[in-house]
Amino acid sequence: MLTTFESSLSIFLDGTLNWLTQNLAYFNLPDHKELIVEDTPYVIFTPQHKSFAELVIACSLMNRHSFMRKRQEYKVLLEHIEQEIERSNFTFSMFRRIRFFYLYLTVYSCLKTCGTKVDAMRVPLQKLLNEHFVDAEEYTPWHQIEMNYYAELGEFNHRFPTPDNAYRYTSAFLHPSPIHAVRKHGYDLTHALFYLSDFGRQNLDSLLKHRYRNTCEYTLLLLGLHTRKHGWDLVGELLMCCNFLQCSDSPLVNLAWQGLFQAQNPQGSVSDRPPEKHEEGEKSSENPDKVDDFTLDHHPTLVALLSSMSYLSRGNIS
Amino acid sequence: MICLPTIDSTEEALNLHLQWLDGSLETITDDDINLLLQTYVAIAILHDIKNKASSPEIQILERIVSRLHKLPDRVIHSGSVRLLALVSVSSLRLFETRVPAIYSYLQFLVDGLLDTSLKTSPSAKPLLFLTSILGLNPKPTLDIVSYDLDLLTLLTAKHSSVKDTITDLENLTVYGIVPNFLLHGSIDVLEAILIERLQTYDLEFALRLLRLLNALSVPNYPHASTRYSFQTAFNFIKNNQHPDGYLGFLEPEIKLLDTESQSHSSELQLKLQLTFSYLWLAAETAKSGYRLFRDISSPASPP
Repeated sequence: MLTTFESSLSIFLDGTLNWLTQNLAYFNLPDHKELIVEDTPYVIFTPQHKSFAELVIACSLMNRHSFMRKRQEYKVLLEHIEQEIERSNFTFSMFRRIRFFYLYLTVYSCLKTCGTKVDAMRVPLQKLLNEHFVDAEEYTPWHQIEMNYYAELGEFNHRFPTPDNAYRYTSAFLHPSPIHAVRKHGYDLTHALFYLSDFGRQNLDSLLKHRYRNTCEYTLLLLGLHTRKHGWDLVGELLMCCNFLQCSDSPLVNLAWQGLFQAQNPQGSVSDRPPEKHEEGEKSSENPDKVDDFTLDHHPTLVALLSSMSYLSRGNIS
Repeated sequence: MICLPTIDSTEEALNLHLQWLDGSLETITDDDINLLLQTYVAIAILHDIKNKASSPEIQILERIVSRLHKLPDRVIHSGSVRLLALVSVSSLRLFETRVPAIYSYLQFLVDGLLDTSLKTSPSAKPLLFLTSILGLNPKPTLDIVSYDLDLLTLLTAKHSSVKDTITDLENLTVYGIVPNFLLHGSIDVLEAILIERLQTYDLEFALRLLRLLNALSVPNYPHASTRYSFQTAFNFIKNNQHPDGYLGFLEPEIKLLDTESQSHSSELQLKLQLTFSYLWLAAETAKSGYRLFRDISSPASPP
């Protein structure tokens, strides 16, 4: 028997999945054979690549829960990803695209957890790692933890620093003053917590130790702040973090969820932009606006899906 | 000149505030009665914080009281009623002095208020509380405040609505004197608003929120002043004491006043309001249980 909150979460989640499947065509990749590399050693990592990688990560997290695996939408999303990889010649000339390493690594590791055949990428990825560039260049601390996470997930040999070493330099430990923090600092925190907790699988108290309570208080404060600012993308991420930190009994969590429920559009997407801009976007049915809508909405909607899923799974719905 | 923030509100920082307030007095004309009154209260607060029988503050306060004695009724009547009442309570306690023009004006206002239904309105409470100390009316009933806050609305509301709610809470609690019990979650919501205001350098509203948070009680919840946001915000504000002694690095706000052809008194008002507001908070946090509206210049005020 679902509680009222779980029922609302369930309806909210259905909406996000509906919007994602309706807009699947926008999660596409350019043809990698067409990408020019002659003039420059670096191909460009585009917003298209980014949104595609985000969809793949979302699928790997959905795959963790039987109540999500069973859903037709999950199967549709995964099938689309597999088709896009094939159609875009995704693995073409991997050695000449070292700037795509992050993309290759996340796609490979996440799809592997979904049981998708991506063996063709394994050897090139390990060879790229063996060149001691991608795991030797400098990253921000949370990004180091992220790279370590996907390298471990894909079972590669690598030299990325372990989370125990890197975490003391992240926002999850240092708590930069929220008075001076901008959105970027909120994302630094959420990403550190995502990977440190393996998206909720690892208890954080053993790692955070004496900083655990402070980190809960800090995360909740940012949640309140961004709910106030209607920054629903970051609110979705912070809600997930509160769940992973097991501090979701705070009244702020409930308030943030109520705000997020209200922010969901009738089509199921969640917009992270001022209401006036959103109204303008809805007036027009032209395709460029539709693409613009997708650019603005796809991430908050994916985050909203993952966040509602993580709360529903905490309620032992499987 | 490079302006570096001073370190904190130790005695040195408090003396710097006093120096600036004393220096400003010379530039305040008799027509700027609110500036005069606010300076008086700010210095009275400094006296309360230091808690010493004789102090340079006392001499300055005496000087202000003599100036008040000489002001014509026309000027007195243009003063903020709450400030007039605060100054009257303080001067009665410190010097056993009454400024007749202020007393008769307050008596006139209170009599008028008691004859209307406004006497029970929240906004009348702080004034009636102060004037009851002066013996102008019976002490108003101060029931425990239980305020029905819609937390989601408050959290996501526009600033103007938030301001109205905070004003209501200040009045209902007589600035923290009346026991209050708020909903679980109120503190968290107010903290989020506090940080948002500080991000826009709205020090004045942040100071009001900090005072309110300091006075709130939420059952089974740690006191707001012990929490991370309160301490972070308070430290940030303390760091914003200008080397000249007032609170705030207000160049953009002052520039805005210039373009609007405002007078010198507008700039002083801006600086004074923040300094006054900060000292009010400093006293209520430094002295456990101290509440300005009850304890100003009281010999029995908490140590």
